[in-house]
Amino acid sequence: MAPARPLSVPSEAPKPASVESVIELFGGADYVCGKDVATAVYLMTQLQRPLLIEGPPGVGKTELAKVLADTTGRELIRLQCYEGLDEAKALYEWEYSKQLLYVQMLKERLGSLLANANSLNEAMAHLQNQESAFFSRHFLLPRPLLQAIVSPRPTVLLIDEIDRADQEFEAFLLEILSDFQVSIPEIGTLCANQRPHVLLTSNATRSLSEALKRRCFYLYIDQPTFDVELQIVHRKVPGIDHHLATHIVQFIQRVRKLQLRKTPSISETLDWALALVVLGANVLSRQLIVNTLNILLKDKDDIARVLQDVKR
Amino acid sequence: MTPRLLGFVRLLRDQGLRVSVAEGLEALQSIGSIGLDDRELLRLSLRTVLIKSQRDFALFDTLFQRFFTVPRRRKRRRSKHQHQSGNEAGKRPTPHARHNGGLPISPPSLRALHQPKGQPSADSLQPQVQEKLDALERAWQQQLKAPLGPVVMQPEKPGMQALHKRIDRPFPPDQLEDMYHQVERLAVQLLTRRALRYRRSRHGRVDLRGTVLRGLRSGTETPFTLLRKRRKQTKLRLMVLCDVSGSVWQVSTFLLKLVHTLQAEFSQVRSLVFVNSIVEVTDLFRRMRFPQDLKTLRHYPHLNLFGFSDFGRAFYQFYRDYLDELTRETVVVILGDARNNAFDAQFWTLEEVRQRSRRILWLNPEPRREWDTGDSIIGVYAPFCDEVLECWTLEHLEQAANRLLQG
Ligand SMILES: Nc1ncnc2c1ncn2[C@@H]1O[C@H](COP(=O)(O)OP(=O)(O)OP(=O)(O)O)[C@@H](O)[C@H]1O
Ligand SMILES: [Mg+2]
Repeated sequence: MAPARPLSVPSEAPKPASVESVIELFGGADYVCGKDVATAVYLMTQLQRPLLIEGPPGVGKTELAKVLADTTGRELIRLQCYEGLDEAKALYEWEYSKQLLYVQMLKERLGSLLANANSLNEAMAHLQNQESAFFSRHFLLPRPLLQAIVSPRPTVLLIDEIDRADQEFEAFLLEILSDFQVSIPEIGTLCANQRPHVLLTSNATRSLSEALKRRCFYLYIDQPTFDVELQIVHRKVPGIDHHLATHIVQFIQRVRKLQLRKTPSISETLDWALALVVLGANVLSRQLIVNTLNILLKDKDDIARVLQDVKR
Repeated sequence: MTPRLLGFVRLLRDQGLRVSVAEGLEALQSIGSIGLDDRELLRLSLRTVLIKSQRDFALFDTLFQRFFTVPRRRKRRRSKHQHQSGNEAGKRPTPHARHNGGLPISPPSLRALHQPKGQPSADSLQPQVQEKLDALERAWQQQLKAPLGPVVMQPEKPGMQALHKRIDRPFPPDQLEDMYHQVERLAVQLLTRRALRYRRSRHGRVDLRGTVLRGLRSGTETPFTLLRKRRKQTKLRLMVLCDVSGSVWQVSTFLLKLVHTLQAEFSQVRSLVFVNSIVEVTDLFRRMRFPQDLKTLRHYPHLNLFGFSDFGRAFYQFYRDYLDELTRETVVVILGDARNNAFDAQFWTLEEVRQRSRRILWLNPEPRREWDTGDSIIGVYAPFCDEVLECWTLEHLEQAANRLLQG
């Protein structure tokens, strides 16, 4: 097998210089984060380790990857996981239609090649000799993992919702993450010239393997505190009245303490805040809450539960 | 810093948190990047690198707090002490003091209950093992200089002690949760080990040879019909039939927990429980939380936990109601001690079940020497099973799971 070779000249991507600078950089991209998030990001970029991010839905796990890519000048490559995800969809596939097209175009030549064959077996042997032509990089369709490896630009590789993929895929992923190098039998070994920053997210629908966890740094993002959420609202809904924003966030923080089926996440806060601004509201009256609560909460029982709380 | 960090890692381990050598080294490297000036950053860094589950954050934070905080009172006492014996002032600090920056390490025994009695605490260990720690430090530093090799992907085995632990008796409530956790861990490890064997499977790829061959044979114009290589593997179905009467309740719930954790490996898992008649609990187990939801099981309608075990009757019901559900892919797992209280064994039903299914695996939660004693009639049923295994330790449970996964 050919030795691993980098595919192009590496171009160094900048790294954040400190935990503080992560906070600043991300702030510049309208992503509000505390020291815990910044520390994890800083360490993973410094020490080149994958970062496993867990947390309830909507707390900004996916967004973090986007912002990391934006602020470090990297290309974001995303692999969305689902049950049944396999290597063909994650790593690479051969482009069969293209191969077939070529077979058609070369039909004549194939005919003459096979004309001399005396038996089917001989014809097969001839054909097999030509197989390598059909399994060259030309016919290779790279999927996210391979894209991250062969990309000429430095990348952020987001492996989103890894807990949805099967356990065996996890083991396969471990191999890739350990050296960012892929052997394709027909071609040889391809390796990344610059390690991608790898982020994995999980909603903890199942427990991940110890091996994977040991390999990764770990970050848990919880629902935002009052201060953080208020900042997010100001950043994402520019021009919102400060009192209104404060009331909205206060209200939502209280709602999160109730035992609801689906606790509202940051995106719902933002949707609601935006709607209230569009409606021209400047105070959060009881009536306004009653009228617009369906933007914040989607579950009927949850809405009833909160309305009951509001009435008191 | 290194010895101090080592001490901290030891403490984490003593308190039941798993930290590998590689993770310890990463902690050291992270300190290299983050510095030591900011205690809060130190805490967050170590946590990022060493702790891989939010559930362990609270314990970690407590331990960090205890380990890296200078307790004022103690410090003052020390200076008073030094003041009294003035001639000691220039003396080399004791190893203890040197390596803790003068701090006492007193790990809170949060998990003292689970800690074996005879084991010395980190506190008393500290001065004695100083030399060992120094040696370890040197080893670490050497390792740090060497490039980190490829990840060792060997899944850890739970300690032998844990594997040999008997699981066929009731546990005190405070240990029970931990036991279910251990069973889950065992299952996850099995899965990891199994998955590691998985390599690039080339199934589903276009079969170029076959495609061309077909084209040649039919003599038609291109395009050829695409032939794909078939994926052979079919997943098994599992039918679990558990005796949950008092004598075997505990083991049964462990087995159910195990199967529950493994369920994604099978195309279908159905769980039935019985004392003297069968109740299907598949739905309950699909979203079961252990051990909280066990009480739901205890009070499940039609399940008479206080009846007498009647295997014959349960098997007959199974034969009557479930025979048509069995396929060549179905593995039937029976868990029970076969203590039939002298009821009719109805063993012929098992033969019918075996005819219709792939295999019957019987797990007996009694040690082999107790089989066929008293009212146990395991010997009557055994000839109709493909395998009868003992199942009264975690290790047995693991073996059973392995058998299941093999098909
Ligand atoms: N810290 C933050 N600063 C600014 N915006 C944020 C922050 N956190 C979340 N958001 C906003 O919330 C929205 C939801 O975030 P995102 O989709 O990343 O959540 P998630 O954790 O990936 O959710 P899921 O688990 O459902 O995938 C984003 O569109 C983003 O605008
Ligand atoms: Mg997401």
